[in-house]
Amino acid sequence: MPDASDEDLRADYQASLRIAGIVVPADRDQAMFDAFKMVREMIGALHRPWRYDEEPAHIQRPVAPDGSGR
Amino acid sequence: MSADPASLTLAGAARALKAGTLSPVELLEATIERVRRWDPALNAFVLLSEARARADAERAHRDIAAGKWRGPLHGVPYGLKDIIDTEGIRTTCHSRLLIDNVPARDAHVATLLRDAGGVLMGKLATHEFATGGPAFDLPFPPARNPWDPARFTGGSSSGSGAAVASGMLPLALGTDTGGSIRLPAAYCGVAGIKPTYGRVSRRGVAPLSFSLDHIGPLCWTVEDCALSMGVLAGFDVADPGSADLPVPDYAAALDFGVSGKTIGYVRAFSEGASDDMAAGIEAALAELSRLGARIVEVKLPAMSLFQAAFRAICSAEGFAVHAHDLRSRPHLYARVTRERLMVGAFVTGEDYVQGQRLRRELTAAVDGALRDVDLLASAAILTPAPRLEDVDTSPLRRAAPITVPFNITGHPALSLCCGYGQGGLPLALQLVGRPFDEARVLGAGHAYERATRWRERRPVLAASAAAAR
Repeated sequence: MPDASDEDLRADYQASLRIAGIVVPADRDQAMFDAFKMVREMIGALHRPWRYDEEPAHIQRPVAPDGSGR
Repeated sequence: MSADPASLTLAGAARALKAGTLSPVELLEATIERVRRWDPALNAFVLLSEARARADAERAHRDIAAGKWRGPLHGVPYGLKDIIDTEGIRTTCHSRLLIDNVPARDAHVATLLRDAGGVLMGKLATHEFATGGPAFDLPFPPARNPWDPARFTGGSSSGSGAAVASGMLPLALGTDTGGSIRLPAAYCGVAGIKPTYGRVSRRGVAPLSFSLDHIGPLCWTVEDCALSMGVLAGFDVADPGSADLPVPDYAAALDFGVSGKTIGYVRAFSEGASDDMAAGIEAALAELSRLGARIVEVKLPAMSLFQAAFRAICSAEGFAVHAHDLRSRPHLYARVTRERLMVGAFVTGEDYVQGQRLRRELTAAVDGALRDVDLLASAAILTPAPRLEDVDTSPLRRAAPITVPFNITGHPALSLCCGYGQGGLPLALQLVGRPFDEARVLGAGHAYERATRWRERRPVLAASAAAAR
């Protein structure tokens, strides 16, 4: 969410908590909101357009590495 | 025979027990005395299982005397991180939520150690549910570093690191989701190996993140880790991540050494290391080179990519495990645990799938690098142990530890002591191998340990314990 305002982020943060059904004590709300912003920034690196031909190779249960360098 | 049998390495104790110059009961009594003397200052134990230990030791004594020696762990004391189930013995995960939990069955690894004739001394401190951080709002205090009890042990296998470094135990099991074996091994100056994902069964061990969780030993020496791996490694049909592959003779592989091997130094992973840590790593690489290894520099994908995948996967899986309790009785968690688990609510389904997608690519990249070299090397930690009050306990650390990449990829990774820095605190090197090639990792670590004198130095407990009071 590179262009989201702080207000938008706070709304998303509160929605995340509501959907998850968890309550953050008032005195820890700012610290958790800061963590929310940090997570969204960190995880932004994961978001890339999907290549449809790669799906079968990636959607499976985690398995031990086999060294094949697939 | 050492004046204090409790200070023997696992290998040393095994030799004495097999030869009959030391009995399991004598070793047990010396160990109990050591625990009673030092643990009040170190808090490594959350439970001393003295009755079980006596029964184990007496059985081992009878069997060995009758010529039924079961192997190098027979009669040897060990401890289990308190997220590992033990039949009839309280297993709390260091948490109020499980304060009265007494499992009906052993975890698979607990059964293996029992069958190998080990002597279970007790359950060891951890960060609550193997996450969070050192906390003072839990039923048990955080473990303290034997090199300086004012300092952090690393975690989450905090009691395991403290118990081994202090010489209270020659073997302690830990678990490692983002570094929780290798970090306490590093900060406490011992050896600890996270085996390949799938090498050691996790059945009966409280999960944090099922696709990142590993189990392994912490010991004073790499040789002791190899002897322990000989008991712990193997297929278990009841762990869906377990790998059905042959297990080599790890003890025999200790003679592999490093001569003629190529070690790829991942310099970028050591960026930001303190001066003493950087110097220790450079000196360790020089020593490995002197032993005949060829050192080359290797580039892996950016640490930030490993950390992004880790954050998405670990947070989502951990939240799934704890969501019910976070909703219904959040007050029972320590503040830091509760907040770090709640961060999982900020990760979406898309994030999780994209994290797994990137994970495949990162694993392939590390596999690719290990086609050109035999081992990878980096620092295991960036600085020696910080003071307990300086440890970051905010809901999210911006930078995950440099151990995280090999939880994402599943490759075997060893942390071992490579000297002492400012204030005499341990420095640590991380060695990483090809999938299921723990033997080569252990062989290299053993060769390094034999060529250096770092294992001759132990924490000065008298002085450090007094300082903690």
